[in-house]
Amino acid sequence: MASVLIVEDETIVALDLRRRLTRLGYDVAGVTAYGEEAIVLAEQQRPDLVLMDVRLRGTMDGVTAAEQIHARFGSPVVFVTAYADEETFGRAGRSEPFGYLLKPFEEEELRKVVESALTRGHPQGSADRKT
Amino acid sequence: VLLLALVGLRLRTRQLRRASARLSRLVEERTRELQQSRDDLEKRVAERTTELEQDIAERKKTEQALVEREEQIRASLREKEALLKEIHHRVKNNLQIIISLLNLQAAHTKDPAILGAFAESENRVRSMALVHESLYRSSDLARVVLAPHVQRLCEHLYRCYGVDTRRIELRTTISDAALDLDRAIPCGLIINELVSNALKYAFPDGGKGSIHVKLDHSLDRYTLLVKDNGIGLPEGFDFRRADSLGLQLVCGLTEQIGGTIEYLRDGGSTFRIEFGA
Repeated sequence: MASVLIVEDETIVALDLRRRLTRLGYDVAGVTAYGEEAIVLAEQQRPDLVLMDVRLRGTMDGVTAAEQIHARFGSPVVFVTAYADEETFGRAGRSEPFGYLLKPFEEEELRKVVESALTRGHPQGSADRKT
Repeated sequence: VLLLALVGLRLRTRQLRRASARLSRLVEERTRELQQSRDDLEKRVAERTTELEQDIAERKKTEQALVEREEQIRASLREKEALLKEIHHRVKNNLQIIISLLNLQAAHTKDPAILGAFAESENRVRSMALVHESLYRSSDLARVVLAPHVQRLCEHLYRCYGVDTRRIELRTTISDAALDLDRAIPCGLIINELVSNALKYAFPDGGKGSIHVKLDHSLDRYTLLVKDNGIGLPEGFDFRRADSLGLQLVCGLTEQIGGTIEYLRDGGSTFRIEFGA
């Protein structure tokens, strides 16, 4: 069973993600609202995928945390964000994201982006990215 | 004769000397006058130059002040835009939280009717979120072009009701006109309700057909058509007095944007909503 680490600063959204992922048959490796803790969890749990919010609690943002996690442990990272502007996409692009999920997300979008990040394992943006 | 000539010459010489002396005085006088007027002119030029220099200095100061003011205005505009983006972002985030809450709550029931009610509520929130999404991405942060958002909204509804576009074809023809937020959100919700109704009721028992959402605009009017070629509303059904929350929302929101609504039974159902630009 593939494991997913959830990094999200909104408790309710994190709960929702955890429940939806469990229902879709994934193992949730951990949930945190902090980038620093995400790196520690990624090292301990070695998740198959990280779902990463861009805005996090604490000093480190999601893009930086994703860069470190990907560089150190090779876990693919999918960004979950309400941001849709080019600047954030550009910055997030440098950490080789394996997909984007725009908030508010749909379960179908979540399923597709997680599946494609896990199976194909190469960078791919969600359908909304280019507009 | 010689003497006469000599006397004449002397006379002439004296006359000439006098004339020459007069001329000299005249020249001197004229020179003095010229000198005077040159001095005057120089003085005036110097005065005017000082005046002009003061003028230029003042103008430069004003220009500098204008440039600074403009820079201030630009900076405050940039700040305002950033703040607006931040607000849209937060609104979207909050709408995500609402959707998550609905979804978490729905997980505690298995009753299909209740689940359906949750799904419909979620769709309404999502339709609002999509308008904010479009706004957030547009360069004009006060007005939104509905076209991309209507397509996404309908695609979402098809997925939500598990309908394939091969069974019920989807067409959206949306003018590229921009609407302000006060109309874009009700308009999105109206489309959400009417398309949901069509997907739920117009094609029973897996029937095939098509849904067409069309928004036209002329100089002063918008016309929104939501059209399907399904079975139509039941005979004698008054959509204005319907029990259905969806239709109540449609009528209420049409009124809210100062529009009119009519129902046409033309080989299916057509809702035609008009409102002022």
